[in-house]
Amino acid sequence: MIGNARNLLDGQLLECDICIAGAGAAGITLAHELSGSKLRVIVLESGGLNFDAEIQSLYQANVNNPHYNDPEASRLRFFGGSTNHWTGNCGPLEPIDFEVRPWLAHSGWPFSYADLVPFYEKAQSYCQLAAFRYDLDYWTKQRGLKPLPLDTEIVTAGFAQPSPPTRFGEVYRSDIGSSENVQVYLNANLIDINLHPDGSHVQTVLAGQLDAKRFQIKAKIFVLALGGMENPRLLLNCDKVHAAGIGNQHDLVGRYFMDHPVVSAATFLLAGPSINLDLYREAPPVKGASGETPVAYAYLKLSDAMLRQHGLNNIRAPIIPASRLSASDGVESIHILGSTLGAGEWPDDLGGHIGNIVRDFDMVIEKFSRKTFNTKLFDSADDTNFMYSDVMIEQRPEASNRITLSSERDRLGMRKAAIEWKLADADKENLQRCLEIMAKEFGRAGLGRLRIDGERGGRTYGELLSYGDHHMGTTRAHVNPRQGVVDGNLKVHGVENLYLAGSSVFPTGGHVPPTLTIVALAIRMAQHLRQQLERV
Amino acid sequence: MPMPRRKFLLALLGTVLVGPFAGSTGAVSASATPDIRMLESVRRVGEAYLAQCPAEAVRSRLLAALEQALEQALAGSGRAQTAERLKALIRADFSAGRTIMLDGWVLSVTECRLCALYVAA
Repeated sequence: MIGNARNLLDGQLLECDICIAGAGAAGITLAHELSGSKLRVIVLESGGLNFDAEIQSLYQANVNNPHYNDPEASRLRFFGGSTNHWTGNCGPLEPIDFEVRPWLAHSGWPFSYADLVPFYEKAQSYCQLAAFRYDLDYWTKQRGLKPLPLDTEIVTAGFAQPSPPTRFGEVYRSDIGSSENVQVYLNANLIDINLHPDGSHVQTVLAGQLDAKRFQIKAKIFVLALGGMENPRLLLNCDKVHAAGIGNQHDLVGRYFMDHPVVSAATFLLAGPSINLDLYREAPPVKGASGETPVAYAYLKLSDAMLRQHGLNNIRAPIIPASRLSASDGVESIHILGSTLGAGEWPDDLGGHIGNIVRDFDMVIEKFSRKTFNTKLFDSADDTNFMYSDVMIEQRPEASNRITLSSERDRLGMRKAAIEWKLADADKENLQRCLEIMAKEFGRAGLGRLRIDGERGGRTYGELLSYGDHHMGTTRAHVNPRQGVVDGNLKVHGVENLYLAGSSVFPTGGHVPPTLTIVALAIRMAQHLRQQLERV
Repeated sequence: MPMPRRKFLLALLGTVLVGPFAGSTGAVSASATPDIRMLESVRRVGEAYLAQCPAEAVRSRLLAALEQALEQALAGSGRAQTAERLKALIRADFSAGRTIMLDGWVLSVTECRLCALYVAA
């Protein structure tokens, strides 16, 4: 059933076996998996069935980095959560991502890739994907295409499957709505977690609406599935029993905050027009009797052997056609001169920039004409002679990147999140080294040349840097409570009936968008919770 | 290597070079004939290489360095074979890590020296 918390009475007490806070990819999957069981499940969703600006504003946060996205813009707070606007890029993390990597501090998950495979397989259908296959052999045969003739011991192809994208709120609304044991309450914001005075377990949670109506839920097990920023914000806000917040006895809640930075990092020039890149391009889904099946597309990445040999974190480098205009050095130099001279500074290599502008003057004029008069001057500006790559990188977990609480409060009286996020120089260096290996292999294979588009007037890692908006690591999983907020079952250390779902539990994030893993972990959690409660 | 060595080597430029030699004004296929735009890019690469490796800024030194690498690879080859062998040599540079980064482009030392030959005194 899907109900509205506005119809509850002020001060009402609800009881259930499992209370899930949050109806995004994690919360909906978990509820869906528990549907049909003997367990009584309540799901609390902050928003309604559609966008509401007033509710959305509860995401407002203070961000220390002017280029980092505010969650009010990057998340969505209504039934279905941020799957209401995700792009659907899917894939599993890789086996190496789960390992303790000696060169990467804080790496290592409390379970292996193999442990998660059965849940990944099931997660595929949740995200409306094809078979759980992401390997080169399978997709080259499926698509009848050849990969670039690269030495796969050095540079290989990874694959992404495009979800339609699944809008979890729409696709699973009917199933959840007709479930006899799952009750969703819309407009129900989780406000407080009432721990037993000894801190050992959660007794009830307090929920309510903006109009000050409050109600409580008593459950055997509570699950927070609020997202990578809201999970820690809530734990930190709930400080009545533990002054530092729930699960924060070792100052880990909110720390190790990671995203997937996307760096405009490389330009490819192919050795000739005969090089076929179709495998690296998105293709329409295949229509069949049972509907449409997505078709995977490839990107470049380094082999595990290279990562181990050089102590690197992986990157994913898609190959994307670039027009003359978008690849113009002259236009880029105009931007750099504008930003540096505008700031009252001289750019490095002023002469080089002027030379670029002179040589590329037709494209500079083209850019000006399109921007000012919305008029195209040169057809050749749209020629796609180059390829470029917006590279998604694995950000290393750093304790200094964190979600804390600001002194400002939201309309529910909860302290807002303060976000400290920075990309470490070591991550930039890692990207450079990965691209150098790719560039050498590209040249060795006779495919052309690769240009590493390093820092350009402070723009590459400033205004040009974009993000997956994948919020990870803020309640990291580790078997040792000194190194993780949750254990291998994603239960908060020291609190016997509080679990966390979603990407906040990721110890590391790989280079892979997290949704498929979030869903797989939710399926796994559902199995665990059923084992816990149904055996009683 | 028979004379005129420099002229012969420069003639190979258009048969093997891609990448920065296209500038941002258009791709150059492996078999393209050098045009003015391309030669301008070649000059830029050559100058950038010599700025990083000033010890090779004398033409005779460049020729000596190139000859050392090319002599065995190109011995007894006709013009068509020469281009292919030169490409193989450049690929071997990448394989062996004999590369240099100029303006972000990762290039083989051999192709950079060929460009430098164009501008060296």
